[in-house]
Amino acid sequence: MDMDPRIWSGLPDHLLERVLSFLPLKTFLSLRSTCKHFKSILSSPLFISKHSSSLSSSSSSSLSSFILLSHPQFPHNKYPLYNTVTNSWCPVSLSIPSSTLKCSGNTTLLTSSNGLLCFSAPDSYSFVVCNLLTKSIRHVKYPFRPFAFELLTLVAVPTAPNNNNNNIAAYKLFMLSSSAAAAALVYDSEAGAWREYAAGGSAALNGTRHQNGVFFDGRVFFATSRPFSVACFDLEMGSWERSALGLLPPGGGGDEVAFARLVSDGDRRMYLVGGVGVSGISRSVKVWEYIYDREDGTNRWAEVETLPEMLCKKFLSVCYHNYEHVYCFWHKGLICVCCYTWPEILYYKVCRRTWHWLPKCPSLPHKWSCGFRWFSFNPQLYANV
Amino acid sequence: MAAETGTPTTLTLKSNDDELFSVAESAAILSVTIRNMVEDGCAGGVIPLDNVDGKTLASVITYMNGISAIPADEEKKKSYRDKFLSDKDFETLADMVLAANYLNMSCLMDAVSAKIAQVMEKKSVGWVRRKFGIENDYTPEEEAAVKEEHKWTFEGVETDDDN
Repeated sequence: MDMDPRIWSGLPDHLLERVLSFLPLKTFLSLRSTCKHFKSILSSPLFISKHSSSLSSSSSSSLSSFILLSHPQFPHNKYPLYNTVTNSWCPVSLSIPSSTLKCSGNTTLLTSSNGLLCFSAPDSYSFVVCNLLTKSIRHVKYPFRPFAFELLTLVAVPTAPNNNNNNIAAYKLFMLSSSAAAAALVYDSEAGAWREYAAGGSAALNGTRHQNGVFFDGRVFFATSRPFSVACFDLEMGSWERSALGLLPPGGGGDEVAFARLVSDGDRRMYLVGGVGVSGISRSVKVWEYIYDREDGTNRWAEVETLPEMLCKKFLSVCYHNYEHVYCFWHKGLICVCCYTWPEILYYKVCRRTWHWLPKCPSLPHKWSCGFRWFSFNPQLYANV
Repeated sequence: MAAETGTPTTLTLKSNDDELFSVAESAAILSVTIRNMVEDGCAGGVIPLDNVDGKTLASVITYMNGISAIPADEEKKKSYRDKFLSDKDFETLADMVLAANYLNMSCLMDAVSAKIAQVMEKKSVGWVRRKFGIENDYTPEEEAAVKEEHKWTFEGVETDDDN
């Protein structure tokens, strides 16, 4: 049929925007190269409000979620993506040129939370928080110089996860300063400012440096092993707490916790993945869930799963009983168990209670061995930086 | 406004090509533009609608009558809208969205906009440019850069150039 484009070109901008706001986000992104006006609509208030209120409908959920692989030997700022909706490696790697991050010098991806990625940019003395969908970034200057930090944790959770609004309006960066006697430092994106908290409580960490904190119930949690304990920092109160809740039943045949890593979905659930054995050598790997009983105010770790023997053998041989290299993260209903020295991820699908290996990235050369770092990446239009 | 009890009031609408249409006031006031005229007492004679042609106005009136006959049941209204729009071609949809905007009928606007968006799904950039008469204002380099930017999100979007 021969259409008359004159009718459409006469469509006022606000009507065109209204039409485009009905497009699924994925379709819209693929049409951004139509003209400059289309590109600018992505950040228009109408488009954003339309897409932010629909948690379950077409818009945000039509975008896939990914597990992102970072390796020091990949070409600079290239990150292969594993699509966890289609369960396959994406043919195109994610590329984050330094122009996107608007800073010179080296940048290193440190952590992710929902739609946000956080990089360090030591040459410009700052962190860079970035939403890749909207191409929006924020440079967060180090609180002082020189600045050395550890256990950086990015906390970006929906403002009101229980209603239909999954906007990430604000986030916090938590870290320990290794220069200022392990003081806790928190950057609050709403205030745009840093706060420093006395070092005292961080001794509860017992020297653990294995994994970033996990955010659960307003607090950032850390696990230590040998002896096992859990410490947490309350982001509101700015105070440390330590809990000595046991994982194993007392007197369990001399078994002890050889390593312990926490995982949280950022909302309702916190899990712990741990190795159980004697003399610091794991014989089995188990998963526990943190249970808090609101009625009598008690809490405990409930064992939910033991890694099947064959998988366990492979995993323990992969990490050579060197648990320093083991870390875990949560990704869309999956507990991912990784090892810096191994190119595959072992993951536990919580709803089905099944274990799987995430296949090796096809673009990964065989000889690369060390430095595999994985991140959960759930692109969201509405994660404000 | 001279409200006569009992007898339903009928309004006369005039399109920009001088066609006259009679429509029940209760249906016509779905248009906020017409409702304001009625409330201001300017709807005594013929209401001229300068931005709507006869063909489109006939279609809009069919919609007004159809939707106002449905009691407050959002499901049924929605299925009526879907059915109403199912046989409209792309050109008609453009006329409808302009008319709905002029007449200030947000429910029709949203339905037509969603329908247009549905047609656009899986269409190529070239198709959109052709159909919307949009000029490509990128330099080739800029266009390539924009395409590159979100490449990783395109997986699964298959565009259909011929259509």
